[in-house]
Amino acid sequence: MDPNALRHFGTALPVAPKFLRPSRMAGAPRRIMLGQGFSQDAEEFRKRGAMLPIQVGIPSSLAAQMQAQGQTPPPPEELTAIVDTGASITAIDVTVAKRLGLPVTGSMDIAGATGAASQPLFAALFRLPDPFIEWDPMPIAGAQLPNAPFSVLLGRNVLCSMTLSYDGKSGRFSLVL
Amino acid sequence: MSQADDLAFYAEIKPDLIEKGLEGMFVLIKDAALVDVYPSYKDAYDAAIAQFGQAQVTIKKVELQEPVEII
Repeated sequence: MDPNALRHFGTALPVAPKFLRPSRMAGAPRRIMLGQGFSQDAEEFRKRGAMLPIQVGIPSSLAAQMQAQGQTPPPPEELTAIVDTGASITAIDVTVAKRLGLPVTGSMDIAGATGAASQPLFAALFRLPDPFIEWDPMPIAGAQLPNAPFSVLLGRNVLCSMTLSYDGKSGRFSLVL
Repeated sequence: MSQADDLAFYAEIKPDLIEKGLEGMFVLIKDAALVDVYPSYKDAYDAAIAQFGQAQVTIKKVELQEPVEII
């Protein structure tokens, strides 16, 4: 695969203005195979959806600022995200975002199944830990996700730089960056 | 000053920003005053940390039509 394919991909499509180029990654392009090890059948996969582990924390520039002032910045926390092609933007449960101490840098109008509302926009360090891909900082919208088995919706502003394969028959999915 | 004040200020200056061809750029607002304009969210956020530390700021992308995101 052409090593510059990602760059071309990100700038040639109509969604390019929303493309979020990773800040750091362990080589590009990367094939991120996720969901391969799930010991679940197709029905369980249908119920759970395409979930993956991620890490979210305060932006590194804020962490460095806190350290310079003698404060101990909170480390990134491992969370569960669900791949959500119906979400135009990546979102995090507001309660979790506040627990992580994510700074609010604005707000945006979010429409969902239960209506539209203004939600906070958080600045976050966002990582796919294996293989390592990082966005720092990434703007993440707030959302109400109480009692869900995930706390992050991986939306199309990230997915637009990837190829998603969803194999419902075998209970697998993959993301290719 | 609250973030609501910053956003109200942004609404006031937005026509001028658009007229100046700054659509797509990111503005950094602090205490209802424009700090600067940046090409990316990261640039605006890092500048905010460098200048104001952990203080409350507002970063807004200049867009003619305010987007409604869907989740």
